[in-house]
Amino acid sequence: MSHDPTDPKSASTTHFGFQQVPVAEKQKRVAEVFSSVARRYDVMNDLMSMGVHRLWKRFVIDLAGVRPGERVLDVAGGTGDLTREFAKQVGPRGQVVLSDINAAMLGEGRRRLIDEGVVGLPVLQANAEKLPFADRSFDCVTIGFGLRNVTDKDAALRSMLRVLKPGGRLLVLEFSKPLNAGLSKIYDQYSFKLLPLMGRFVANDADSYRYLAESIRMHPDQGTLKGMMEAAGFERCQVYNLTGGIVAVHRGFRLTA
Amino acid sequence: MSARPAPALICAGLEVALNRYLQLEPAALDDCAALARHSVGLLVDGFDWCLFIEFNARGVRVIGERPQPASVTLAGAPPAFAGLAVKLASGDSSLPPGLRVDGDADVLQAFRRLLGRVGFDIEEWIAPLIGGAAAHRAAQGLKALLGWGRDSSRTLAQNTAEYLVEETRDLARGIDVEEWMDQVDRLRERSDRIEARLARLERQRTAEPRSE
Repeated sequence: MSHDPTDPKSASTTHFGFQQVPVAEKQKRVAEVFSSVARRYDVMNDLMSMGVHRLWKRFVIDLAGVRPGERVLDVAGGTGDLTREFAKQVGPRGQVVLSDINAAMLGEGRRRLIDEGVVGLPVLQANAEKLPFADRSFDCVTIGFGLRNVTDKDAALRSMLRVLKPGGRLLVLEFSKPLNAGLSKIYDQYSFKLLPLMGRFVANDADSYRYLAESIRMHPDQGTLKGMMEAAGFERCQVYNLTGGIVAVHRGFRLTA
Repeated sequence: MSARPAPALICAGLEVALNRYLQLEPAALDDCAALARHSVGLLVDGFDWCLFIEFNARGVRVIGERPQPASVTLAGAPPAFAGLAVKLASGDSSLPPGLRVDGDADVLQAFRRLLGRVGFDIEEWIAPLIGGAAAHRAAQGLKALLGWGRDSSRTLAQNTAEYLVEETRDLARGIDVEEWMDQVDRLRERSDRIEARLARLERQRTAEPRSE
């Protein structure tokens, strides 16, 4: 999360769910959460979203409009849901790179891709804030349910802009703010009561799923994230609210060389 | 343009549909690249929505707002846009009635040509999913079904019109309406003539000196 450098408290700390933690510690604590949930990640996704996460991802894939021969980077790609579809679309002339900062998630992703016959694509452990790729090397970059866990989101957005070719696009799929007050109340009850309970019974880890709910509330809302993308240099930024704003897709383009 | 941006999901739906359609003809993407500096604005009456279609080498991008005005704007009601879509899908690149064009007509012409050159072959489209032979039979069946639907609706319209004209007499026959309109025209001409004659007589009466 970006912080105000003039505020001495925010300069040294950032949020981890509802807690304030030293900036240097957030990455380690997020890593612990995802290492803990990696094995049950897909099961829990299906359970928590009642399968709707597949529709949200389908929307991102359609909106990305990836063509044969393109190069795609899936940042925070986790278990590789987006990577698998993009690999089909780019064909043998294109390339998809799966990256994630968390080794356990990346391992799960690689294992699942191999199980489903998707082989030969690069899998890379990388920090979204400092992507280890040359400038202007991808046609499309996606980050699905990953940006809210990044410590310095502004740096990550700048880094993703840097690796995009002119004309390339970034798609951010992330939890956001419900547009309707009634839905928001139901969603709060679900997130803070039911999610940790599911985490406890299915993944034997209530704390990680409590962090999930808290991190969603701390994530910038639709308008703020759009502003951050524009500040990073993206153009033609547009927000697509899904399921009443519970999830939003942000898309922006790098138009200048 | 004073209309408000169209909802993002409408823009997304149109963009995905257009790009899938353009993907059927790879050469169409070269045309999109050639139009890269231009854009087409759509103004949807009734909903008061505006959307912009921007071109690039990958296809099109549809957005609700844009810093610069569009090269050309097409305005009309949703049925007129639906008519345009149907015409384009059937390879006809002419504009249906009810659409207004404002701006660089050459850009619009290029866009219509670009969409018109993409042939939509249902058989080719479904063949990878169900196999060539099955796709051929499905396409023939679909064509027969559509032809039957067209014929049935035409027959229904004709029968309804005949019933209303000949049986219930709620509608007049075309030939009777034409005859009645001719009579109205003749009556109008006669009344014009009599009005002119009366005016002339009035002028004569006021011009004659009084005998007393």
